[in-house]
Amino acid sequence: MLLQSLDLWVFLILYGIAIPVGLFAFIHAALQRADAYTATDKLTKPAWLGITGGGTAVLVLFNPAAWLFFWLLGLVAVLVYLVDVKPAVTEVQRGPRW
Amino acid sequence: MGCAASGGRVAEVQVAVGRIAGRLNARSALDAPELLAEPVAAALTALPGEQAARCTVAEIDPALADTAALCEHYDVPLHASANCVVVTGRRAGVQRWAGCVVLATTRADVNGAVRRWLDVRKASFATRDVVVELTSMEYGGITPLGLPAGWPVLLDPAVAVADQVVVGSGLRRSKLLLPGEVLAALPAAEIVDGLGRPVQ
Repeated sequence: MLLQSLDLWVFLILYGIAIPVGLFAFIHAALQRADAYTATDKLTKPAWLGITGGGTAVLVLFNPAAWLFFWLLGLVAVLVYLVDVKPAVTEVQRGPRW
Repeated sequence: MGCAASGGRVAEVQVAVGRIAGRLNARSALDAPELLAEPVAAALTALPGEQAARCTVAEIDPALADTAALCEHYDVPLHASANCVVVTGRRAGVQRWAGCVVLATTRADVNGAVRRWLDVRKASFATRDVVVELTSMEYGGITPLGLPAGWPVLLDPAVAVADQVVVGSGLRRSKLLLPGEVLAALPAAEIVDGLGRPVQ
């Protein structure tokens, strides 16, 4: 069925990009100055390294076909960093803008 | 007060310095202007003589100028090391700046205490290039002593009361050691409660 195969494609793409995205989040988190996290009222740098690193490890180690729930948790952890924390720590290190 | 008493006081200070200085080899900062960035040396000589005499400087490996490396390599406790970060924000078209000094066991509450003190909508760390240009200090050696005129020096209360803290010298190849009260006595100094937030 078309719908079924579309589902499969969406999932395969998601699966293919999840691990690189997770690695990107972890590396990005590692490169930020530690006080930027405090400055933006986020958890500490080690905490976010743990969250993005742990999330990425889950994406690598758990097969989503068998462990979909855990796999999605790993993905969500990485995405929370990317959509919430990353913009904030980037912004707080950017000043001033003339 | 007699000589014996003041001698005792000197000995006490030296014991305190020895304890926090770790393996830093400190000598009088007034005698070593070559170990200070130009604005820092100028600010030191502008201090009241008795205060300037209590500031010492130690040469270090420039590769170890960052706090974590410094403390580990030279056995300086984190609570005896203070970081100075430059925070900036804009209000009514005017860029405001502040040097914020917190112990290395804490991090500056940029989005809270500093933002409120500067009275700006959004506060952020000044970028490396801008800090270096405006302060004439080397990154990694930024220090509260000798910041540009007009910049407030915000101090965490724990810094202001510290016996002795290790701060930058304006250069990466040395560190200044000075009593917190010397910083608190700077004309630009402001003690700000809650400036440093403990690192969990």
